[in-house]
Amino acid sequence: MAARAKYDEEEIVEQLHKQDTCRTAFGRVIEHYSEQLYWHIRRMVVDHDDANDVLQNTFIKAWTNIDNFRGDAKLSTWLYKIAINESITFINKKKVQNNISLDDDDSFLVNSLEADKYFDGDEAQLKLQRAIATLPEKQRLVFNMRYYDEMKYEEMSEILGTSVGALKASYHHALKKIESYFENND
Amino acid sequence: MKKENSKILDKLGKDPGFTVPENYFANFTSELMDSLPEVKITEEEKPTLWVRIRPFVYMAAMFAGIWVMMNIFTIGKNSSADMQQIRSQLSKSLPAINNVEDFMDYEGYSEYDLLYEDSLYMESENVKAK
Repeated sequence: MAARAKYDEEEIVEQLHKQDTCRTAFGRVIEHYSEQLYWHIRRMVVDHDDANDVLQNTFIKAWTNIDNFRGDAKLSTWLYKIAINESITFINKKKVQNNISLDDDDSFLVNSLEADKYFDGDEAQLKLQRAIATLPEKQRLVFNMRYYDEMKYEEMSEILGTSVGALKASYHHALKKIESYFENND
Repeated sequence: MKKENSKILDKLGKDPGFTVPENYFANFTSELMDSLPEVKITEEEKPTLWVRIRPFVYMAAMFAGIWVMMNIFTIGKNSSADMQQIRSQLSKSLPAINNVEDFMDYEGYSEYDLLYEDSLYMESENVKAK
């Protein structure tokens, strides 16, 4: 098997804007970003099948709007934005389907996690997922991006359109809430 | 990063306990690529040479215009300066010229009036001689 050329974002973006190379280039984009976007989505929607659907929708949306991507922002920033929007839209749809108020937290997502065949975490990991699910949506996003993805606040700020200071405050509040969840649910 | 985390999180680590089906990521791209619809890309047209150099040509023309205008004004200034010089040289060589000019301007007399009077005088002299 021939070795794949190194992923060069500048080159890929250039190829995405040409009719004859855009499809192949987009294949490279999927290959490069699918795993990191999957984990980001999975931490939001929890269930694997749901994460798979949201990830597919994310790439399909990116593909159908590829002509609008002019390379002003980083490709990863653009894809993350789409993934976050798709995740939130999916969660809201699921809330409506389950007759849950849109203002309620996303705890319902973790209810079936114990029985999920794609979850092999222990009791403490399950508890952490339950604690994260009680956070407001924005705090949950910030917590996941900072704690699991170890993303810089500046990059998060670009994706979420929030100031670095507000993001730091959000992360701090999320940590406090998770700690207090653990203290109250011993 | 560690400093901003809590003790509980430090104990738990960063594995959320989620797993995926075998070869999920390996097969994801090919499966998704098959389902992607056709899209039309609007390719950016490469700008022609004229379009690329046009702003520079306009700028050069503007500077050229400014240079020409400045030259015109400078030439005008120089010529009037030259005239001044000629006048001052003349007035030095002909000290009475100013008086002549005063006389010429006196009560609306012009040099044509003087020439006319001269011609009348010459005519009367000619008549006398005849």
